[in-house]
Amino acid sequence: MKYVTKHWKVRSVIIMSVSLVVCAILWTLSLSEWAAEMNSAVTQAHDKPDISAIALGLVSLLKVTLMILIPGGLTLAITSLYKKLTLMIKTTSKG
Amino acid sequence: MSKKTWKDSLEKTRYVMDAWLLIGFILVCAPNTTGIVLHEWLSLVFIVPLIIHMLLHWDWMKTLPNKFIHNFSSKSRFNAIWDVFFFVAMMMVILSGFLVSVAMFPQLGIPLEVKPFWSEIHHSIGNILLPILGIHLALHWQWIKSMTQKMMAKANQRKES
Repeated sequence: MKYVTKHWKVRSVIIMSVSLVVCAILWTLSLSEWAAEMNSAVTQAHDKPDISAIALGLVSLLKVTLMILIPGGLTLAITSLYKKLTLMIKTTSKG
Repeated sequence: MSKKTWKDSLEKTRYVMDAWLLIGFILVCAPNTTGIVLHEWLSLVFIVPLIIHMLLHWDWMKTLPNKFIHNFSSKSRFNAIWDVFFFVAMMMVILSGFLVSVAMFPQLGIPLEVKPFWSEIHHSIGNILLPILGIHLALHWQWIKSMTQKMMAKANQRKES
């Protein structure tokens, strides 16, 4: 674990400090009018879906997996298409 | 001669730690699977692999501002912007998660009034984090693929010997 433990105390303190500053800045959003509007709006309780707890757990895991895989797959497809297109443009402009 | 393990290589340490981070991330993002109590405590524990992930990319983060201006390709530049965006979104979800805690803080005896604003932010940005991670993984796909092949080859070698 030499790579994790290398100056880990100082570095972790820096990471935590930066994170806390970012969080403090983000927290100021709660003072905005937008937040006040959302807080004053009447919230409706979400109805529980009519499925078993196991099915709900599996659906939740499936949702998480798909929501990661689909954008990831699309990004891979777009970047490979972009690479092919730039290569094609380069070869046609040379020829 | 002592045997070399994944801990002796920075790339392999990153790979193993990132695998744990990914598993943790998926579990944390599925509160209906784990239950709210475990979701909140796991989220707290999740901060550790998240910090380890950043510790293992310390050199990259340190040189980022200088490299970003002077010698980054457009892909690396997009990747850096995406990582910063991912970090801010993650901070927002962690912060709002603490502020809408219904299990952890009450268990610790800390009273908390849950505001609808933070609840909405936590759910909305929490859902957005998933595609952000998908794109983050796709941007590092070549590294993931080559490291998986290396780790598999090493595992097969060990099995044979």
